[in-house]
Amino acid sequence: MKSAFKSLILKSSLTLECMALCMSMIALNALAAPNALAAPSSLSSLPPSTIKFGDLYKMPVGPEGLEPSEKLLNLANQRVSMLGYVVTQTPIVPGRIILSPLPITMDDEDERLADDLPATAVFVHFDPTHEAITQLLDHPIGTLLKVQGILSVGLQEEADGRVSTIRLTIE
Amino acid sequence: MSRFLVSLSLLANLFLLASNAYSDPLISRVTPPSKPYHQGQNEPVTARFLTDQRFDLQTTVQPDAGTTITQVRFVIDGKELVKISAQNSNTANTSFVTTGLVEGLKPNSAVVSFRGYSNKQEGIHHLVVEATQSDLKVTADEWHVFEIVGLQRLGSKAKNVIIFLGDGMGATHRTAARIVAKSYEQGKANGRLAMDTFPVSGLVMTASLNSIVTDSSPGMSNYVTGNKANNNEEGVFPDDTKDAFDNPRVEYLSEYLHRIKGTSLGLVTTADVFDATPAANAVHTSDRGKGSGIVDQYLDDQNLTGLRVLMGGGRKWFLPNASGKIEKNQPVINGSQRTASSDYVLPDDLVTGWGAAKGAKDPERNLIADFRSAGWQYAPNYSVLKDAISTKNPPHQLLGLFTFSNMNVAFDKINGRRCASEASASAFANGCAAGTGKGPFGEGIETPLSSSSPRGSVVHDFGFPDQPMLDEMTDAALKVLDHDNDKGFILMVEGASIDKQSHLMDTDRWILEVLEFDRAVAMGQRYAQAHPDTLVIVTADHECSGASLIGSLKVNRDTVAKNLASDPGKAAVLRDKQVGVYEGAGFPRYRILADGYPADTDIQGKVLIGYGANADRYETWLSNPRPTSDSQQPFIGVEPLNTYPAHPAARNAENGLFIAGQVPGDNAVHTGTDVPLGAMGRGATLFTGFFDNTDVFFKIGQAMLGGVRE
Repeated sequence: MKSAFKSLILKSSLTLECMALCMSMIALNALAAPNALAAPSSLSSLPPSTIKFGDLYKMPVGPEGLEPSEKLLNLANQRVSMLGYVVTQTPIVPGRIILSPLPITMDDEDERLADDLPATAVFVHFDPTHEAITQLLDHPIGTLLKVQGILSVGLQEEADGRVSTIRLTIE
Repeated sequence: MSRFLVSLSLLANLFLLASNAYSDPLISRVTPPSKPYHQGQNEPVTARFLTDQRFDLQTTVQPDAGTTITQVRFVIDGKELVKISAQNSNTANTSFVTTGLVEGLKPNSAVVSFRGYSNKQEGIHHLVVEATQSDLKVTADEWHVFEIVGLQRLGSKAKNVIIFLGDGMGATHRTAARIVAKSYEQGKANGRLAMDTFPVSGLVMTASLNSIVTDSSPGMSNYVTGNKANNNEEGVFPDDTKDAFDNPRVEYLSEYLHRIKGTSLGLVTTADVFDATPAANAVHTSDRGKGSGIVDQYLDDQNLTGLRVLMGGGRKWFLPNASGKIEKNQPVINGSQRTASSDYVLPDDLVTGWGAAKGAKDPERNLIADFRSAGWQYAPNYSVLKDAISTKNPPHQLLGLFTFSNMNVAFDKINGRRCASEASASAFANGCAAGTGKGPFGEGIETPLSSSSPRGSVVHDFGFPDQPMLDEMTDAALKVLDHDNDKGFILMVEGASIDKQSHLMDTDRWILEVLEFDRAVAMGQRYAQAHPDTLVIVTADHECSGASLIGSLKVNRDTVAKNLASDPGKAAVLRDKQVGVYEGAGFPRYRILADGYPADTDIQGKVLIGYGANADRYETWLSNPRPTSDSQQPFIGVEPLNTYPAHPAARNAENGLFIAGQVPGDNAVHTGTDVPLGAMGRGATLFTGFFDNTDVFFKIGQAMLGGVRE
């Protein structure tokens, strides 16, 4: 109970800060307040489609690996909205955060690639010079973020050697 | 050379060294490592090898400012082995590396190697490294030794060896599993685990080269190389380069016996197959996390190791990472975690010195297809595995990849099987809503991260509902290895999640892991009884969590639930009124079903465990319906896995008894305590007493090459 409460306080304080800083691109909310997850005003006149981590792949897993869901493929190259935890990563990769379906801390110095990053993680790319978003890189574990961006799918090696399958690019 | 002569030689060299004591260049590392004689040791501390066992010689030399290293000589027992100069450096099995070195060395430092050295002369050998720099200054390091261990030529030799490795399994883990499976009456156990019945017992010291507390890489590697490795490193000595695959190697038991007598190798684990324990039987790397390179080398160097069986989880490393590739108008998505940065390319001197594959940075490689092309049969689930070994001619080589990362644990696999059967589901008090086949955990709920859907059993949640148990994998491995087995085999079977669930302090899950492991041990025991030329060892690489059997639960499940609801977190109730110690513990009695596992782990009188190496956690004493998250799984965090606790400090946080951790982080840690070892079969008598983990290698060597009196 103690650690969950602490986490909630940290998330709430960051929520206010972020909402002021990056309203136009990102909405940030505490896990314990799902009713407050309404998306901010979109950059587009069309509302983004929402996709959840549970919508990404078919189950059970096939002999040759994961298989994308129809919904994921249909939303490729379109503007989507997605909610996830910001992965706490050391060292920071400029211009990129990772969204995960559960709170995770990764320390590349110690664990390198044998870490806890789930295969469903979504990599979010943005302009590394954007100060407001860059501040998000220094976030407490458990930060829940709603991101709107252009969805792209397909395996791609990232700058730090990781492999992304699904990416969101913030315009 | 006798030790006496070596000592005289060392004394003579004292004079030489005195003159070099303040000379540069600086020889900062000599491999193989040994504790110098001049520190008062009468015996070499670390580096020991069997006759003709291969290992690399290497040194790091740091020159004076403004100079470079021009030449290095390796001299063994007074005779020059090789002279390696910077000009003709990278030839055959030698190298002279000045780039890609770790930080902190002087400019122009050099790492100089001689690959694939071996020595057939038993006894202590004296290694001198002499370095020359460009201003012609010369330094010699004369204090290093290694030992070639002689074998006694006795009687019958063991043909096969089976190593059962209960990862993290200390004495408490075994005791708890015995109480659950067999029960006690009037102070005596009503039965024994299979591993309890091994006729010979020993106690093993488990330290690694650089710590009293080992991790699983040296924990396994030390058993099968005869030498100490650093934590996180397997089959190598430490070095001063950044490359994780170029470290100085020491030959594995598998490679040594395959080279000498054509022995085959089987690796079976409940972990991801790239994990430290299986890899530390066949792959040489200083970074246990380099998944792509590790799994590639299983196949690429099968001619060195004799690998014929590889089973466990870890499918994600075998899938092609087709970055940006489009097939049928769709981007290729398969969950591959192959990357160039975790892959391998070996330097030429290693390729030449060891006959190893060069390797390639090829994340796009379809390794399952390559295994198949090389003649391996691939089993993605238990149904296919059963079919593969049901014939009189099982496959010669078998690859089983049953999950994406670590396999689910016995608690959840058994639950899944029982849930699939109406008859057994109704008998499993932990488990399912009888007859629904849907699992015990009720309907799904809408969460911010997922859609609502009914939950199934844990194995369905993970997306791999048809996983084999470890004894079934062991049976399959033995059938494959025993077929056309004229040259013998080494089989390593790992109960990996004894450790992983101990890290998580999930008591019921690791107890069932020990039971699953013991059923595999029984399988090996039966094989050895039918094949008396087989040696079987059961042990652990280290203890995990500082587990202690503290007593039993005084109340029943309903009372615990009521106490948790009415007095959440209150030690006065959850500890003082529920934990039975001394005679209050009595003798727990579990009901064991036909599948070999308890019908209910939450009985009144259940075994209670305390943890001496614990992280923060909340304890309810009841089994946790859902395992703590293993976030390397592909669907972790996705409904319904997003309802699984993220770590022990989040599990039961709403009502459990808070127990402050003694270690940093959110997991219990390995401990440096000694671990039990049991042995049966040919050569078992060698394993009595108290010994170092590296001694196990030489005992196996004695049994398989020198033989034993029977």
